[in-house]
Amino acid sequence: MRCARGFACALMLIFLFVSPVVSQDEMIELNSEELGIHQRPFVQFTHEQHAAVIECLRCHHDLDNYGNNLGSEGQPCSDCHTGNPGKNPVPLQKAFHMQCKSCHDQLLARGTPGGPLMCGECHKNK
Amino acid sequence: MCRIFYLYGLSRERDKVFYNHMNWSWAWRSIGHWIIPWGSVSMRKQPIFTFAFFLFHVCLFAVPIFLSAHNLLLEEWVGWSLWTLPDRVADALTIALMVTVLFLFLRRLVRPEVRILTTAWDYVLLTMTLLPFLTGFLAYHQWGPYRLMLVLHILCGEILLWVIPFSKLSHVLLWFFSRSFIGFEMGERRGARSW
Amino acid sequence: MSESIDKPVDVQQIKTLLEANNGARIKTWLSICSRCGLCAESCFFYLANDRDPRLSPAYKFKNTLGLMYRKKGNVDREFLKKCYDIIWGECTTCKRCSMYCPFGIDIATLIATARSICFSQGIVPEGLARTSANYRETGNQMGMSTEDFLETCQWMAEETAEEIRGLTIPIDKPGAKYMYTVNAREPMFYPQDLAMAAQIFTVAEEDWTIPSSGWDCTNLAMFAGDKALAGHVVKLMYDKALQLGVEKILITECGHAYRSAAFEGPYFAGCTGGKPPVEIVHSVRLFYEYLRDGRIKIDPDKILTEPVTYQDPCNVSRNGGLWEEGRKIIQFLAEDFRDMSPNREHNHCCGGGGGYIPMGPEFKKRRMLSGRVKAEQIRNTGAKIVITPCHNCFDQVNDLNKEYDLNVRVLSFKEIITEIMIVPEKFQPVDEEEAGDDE
Repeated sequence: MRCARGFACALMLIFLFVSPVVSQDEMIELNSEELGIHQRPFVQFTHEQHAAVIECLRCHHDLDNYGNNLGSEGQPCSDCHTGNPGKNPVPLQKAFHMQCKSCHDQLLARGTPGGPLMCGECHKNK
Repeated sequence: MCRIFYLYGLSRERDKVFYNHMNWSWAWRSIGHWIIPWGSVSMRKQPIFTFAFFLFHVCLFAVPIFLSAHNLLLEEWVGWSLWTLPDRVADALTIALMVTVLFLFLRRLVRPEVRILTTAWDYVLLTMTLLPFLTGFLAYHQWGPYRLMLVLHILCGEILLWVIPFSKLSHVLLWFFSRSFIGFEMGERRGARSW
Repeated sequence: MSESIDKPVDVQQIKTLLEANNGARIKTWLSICSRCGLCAESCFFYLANDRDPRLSPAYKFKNTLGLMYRKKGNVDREFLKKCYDIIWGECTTCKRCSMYCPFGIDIATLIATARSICFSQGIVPEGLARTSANYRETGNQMGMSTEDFLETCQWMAEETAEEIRGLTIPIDKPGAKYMYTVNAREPMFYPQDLAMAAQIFTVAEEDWTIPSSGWDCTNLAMFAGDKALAGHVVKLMYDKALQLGVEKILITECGHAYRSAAFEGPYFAGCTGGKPPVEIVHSVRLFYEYLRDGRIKIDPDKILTEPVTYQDPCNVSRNGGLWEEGRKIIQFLAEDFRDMSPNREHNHCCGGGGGYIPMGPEFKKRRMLSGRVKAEQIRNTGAKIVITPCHNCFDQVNDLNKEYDLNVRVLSFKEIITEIMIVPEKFQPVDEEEAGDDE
């Protein structure tokens, strides 16, 4: 219950403070085969726009046991984050959700306009 | 929950005598016969209503509890989630729910024995039950202003949950108690069935 | 209505009563009723009166007890008079609706509570008020004195001993197995009922007795909403049973007496554990046991050949759980049994229960109207004999018989059993010729 309320407040905040980010650039359609039939529309990921503001290795990460980031650009997420849970503790769908939303959420918390957080804002109907 | 404890306390104080013939077997039989569709004579006499009424309740619980989007959020907050319904199924169930709400609405208007009992509050409650589903449905299909719809969806859901303990919707929990009571009151005490 | 003077109602008293009854049960029931209307179809008042929605059980409790709580007891006499019409004139507290309510709301209890509130303000049907005065004075509903009662018993014993050798009606026999309690109308108007019971018990060689006090097992105070008096009435019976040290109390073929003695009386009398201090047995159960165990044998040549149907009294079947026993007795007595539809615990009330019959002429017209459902049920079976182990059903079916030309005979189990049972040699009267004449 409390969580739901917190979430509602968060959503209200987004609604009030965030202006939609609209700019068309190079799009990547996240239609990973590993996830089988998608329940929601594919996410159109604005790769160029993200690359312009954040470090590549933040997303293309590969942390070893000592916390060293061994990631490399161009490596697709699904190389490590498999579709089925088990091999990797963070399966692909969860990885996408965590990666996008945690960052957008942090930006929002800092008071800077972040990216979308609601389901339908990424999974847009065409 | 508080209300349950309150009523339990009250029952220990005022209706103590009924605990003497409390009997789990009769209580469960009473619940069982009424939780299975057409499990009681009363329901068999009204087959169409029973169908709509069960469909309504099944959708009412299944959709919010097993919706994949809800469970994703649950996963993120508490680290575990339930089995989920495919979105298409959830969508179909939502439509079914909206149809049954319409049916219940019309039934209240059309059947004289129901209309005479109905107060404005009954229509309000029915609408309040419908709204989270309607807004959720519109938000899912991204019809209308998406953000507004989602915020409304959450708001309506919240309001509905808050209204439950203070209205006849409390039957969501109290049903089990009233059903058990009549089960053992008729059964254990009088040796008769209540279904 | 017993009270014609229009004195203002005692709001404070109503409030106290409402508060005292405001336990978890009633609170829950009143708050969760979802106004689904499923109860309507279960009510014979509703069915008999062209599905008038104002006769649906939910409407009835909502507009009586429900409103009393809504108004927090601030009601006037006008309102209570309206309630009077509903709770006595449109409900027999047969409890059928609670079987049809998805929540199992016990509407009869809600109506009974409303009755007790009206009663507290002197609003109660004349017929019931009269019996209350009798109960208070003599401990039985018809105001029969102990001497009259004992004389009737003696008279019947003497008369019947001519038919059954060695027949006696033991009075106040300590330590008997069964203490037989009757409906006051038996000694008053149908003393042969006592005689018939005595015949059956004698042939079955039962260890039984009739008490000189607390012998009236009826409890119309329960239907009048006078809980204190209702408690007093059952207590007379319990106390006598304890005093005599009998094993069980046997209830005559009467419906509400069983409900009162076995189920509701203990609450009124404040018995610990909510159970009667002595086991309560209904005649239907005992007669069934006699026939099952062969203590009473039926003459195969005399078994009823006419079509027979069984009127389940609400308080014996639905509220007493004895529907199978009744049917099994009939298997011994009749060849052509035709059940009503619906039957057993789903049977409709005859329309005479809940105090309706003793409420008298004031309600007679309504009683005949609402009895249409029962009349049609009986007609549809095509039966010529209606058996019913309840005095109210008996009277009501008789009245319906005239009103709707059903062309049936109404009989109790006692009447049939005494008519067709085999009287063993040792109980045959000494003069064989006389026995032959009796046939």
